[in-house]
Amino acid sequence: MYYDFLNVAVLALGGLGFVYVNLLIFSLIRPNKPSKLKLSTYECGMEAFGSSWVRFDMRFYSVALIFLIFDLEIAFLFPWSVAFRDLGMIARVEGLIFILILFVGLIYVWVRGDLDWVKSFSQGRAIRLGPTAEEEAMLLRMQVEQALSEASALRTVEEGESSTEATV
Amino acid sequence: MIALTTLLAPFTMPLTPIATLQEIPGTTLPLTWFLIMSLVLFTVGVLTVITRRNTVYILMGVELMLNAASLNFIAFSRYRGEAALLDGTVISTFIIVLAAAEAAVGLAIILNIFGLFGSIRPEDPNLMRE
Amino acid sequence: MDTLTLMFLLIATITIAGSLITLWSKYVVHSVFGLMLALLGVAGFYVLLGADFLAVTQIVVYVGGVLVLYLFGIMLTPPDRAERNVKLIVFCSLPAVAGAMYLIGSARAMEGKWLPGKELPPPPGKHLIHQVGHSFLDKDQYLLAFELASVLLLVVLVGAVYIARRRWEASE
Repeated sequence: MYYDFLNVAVLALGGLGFVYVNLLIFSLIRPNKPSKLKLSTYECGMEAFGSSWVRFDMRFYSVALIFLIFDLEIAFLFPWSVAFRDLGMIARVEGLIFILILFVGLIYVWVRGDLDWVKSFSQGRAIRLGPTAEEEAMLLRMQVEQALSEASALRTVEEGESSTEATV
Repeated sequence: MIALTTLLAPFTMPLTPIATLQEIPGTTLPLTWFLIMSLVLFTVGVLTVITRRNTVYILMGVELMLNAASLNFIAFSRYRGEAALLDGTVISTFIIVLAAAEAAVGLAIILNIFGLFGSIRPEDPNLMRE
Repeated sequence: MDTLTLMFLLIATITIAGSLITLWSKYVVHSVFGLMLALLGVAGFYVLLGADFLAVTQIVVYVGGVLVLYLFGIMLTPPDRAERNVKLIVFCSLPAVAGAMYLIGSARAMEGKWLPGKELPPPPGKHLIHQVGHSFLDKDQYLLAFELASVLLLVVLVGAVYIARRRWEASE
């Protein structure tokens, strides 16, 4: 058994060695003439400012969470998958029950929209199939009203400018 | 009252193996070494929980402690033979699953607390309402 | 100094270094990677002890899943550089207490109550995963725990996703 894992260890050490030995060799033979401009973060372009920490979207966390749960399911299904052949029908039923219970969770997550990356309009609705007709009409009305108000505002500004020109 | 010689026995007595791993002939690893490693991991976990005031660190310390416990299970069961190793493996598998579940729910709660209070230090959420 | 002892010392070095990085580092990301080193070291101990299935599970679940979760968790919370609450008394006293407890425990064990006898354990036969699978599916062994684990995972999935969704719905 140790020899199986010795293969893994040799492969991992070989990979690490490949990276670092190459870096070492090239750091020995390459020219090294640093200047202030070369050492700046971006040689051309803007200097970075502010904190490097930005608020990430919470949905990254949700997706990682769902991945972790099904990762654990895999950890349980590996021993099941090597053993169920020897144990007959009952073992298959047991494995099926296991998978079905977690499938309920998958359906819940799917239906509630936690797997959707782009949030759809009908927030909180059980099944999201895009905006309803009423919502589309409302959105259209809002857009038309906004365009109208912008146009009227522009018109008043133009009138004001023309009136000031006339007085001048 | 335990005599001092008994207390110091693990260090004064030579490291005779309680049992040996047999696959590579001529090798010996005493059980005590694994227990000492488990002790070190557990102590570092407790220190992380005590000295850090960031809740994510506290969860990481709990992970270290759970790993120490799991390592203890496996070490003892290995030195009791193959049937016991099976039991230790199953129990440690459940420990891993529980640790992952704890991390998932705990981090979700921490993120909620950060949203409500704007801080993830454990002393800051001190209101029992939103 | 044989091969197995050498491997043990190497893995012990990695584990202790990783856990100390977790304890000491000022940056949370460094701490998470230190935790990764420590968990990989524990997986190495599992290999040394013959629990191959557990070592693979440890790597798949912890390094592949839990640490990713931690990384996302610390990306969602602000960095906090001034949070360490180091008191030298705690740092010195707790290892002392742990060492004393180890001494007492091993002294009790020397009386022969806890430790197994000195007989040699048989080496692990074929891969342990067959036996683990059989014990998961045997109703006299761990079948109930196996099925209850799926219920636990279902509850964790629904509950944690609910809590997380509450957060991003509130933020928008």
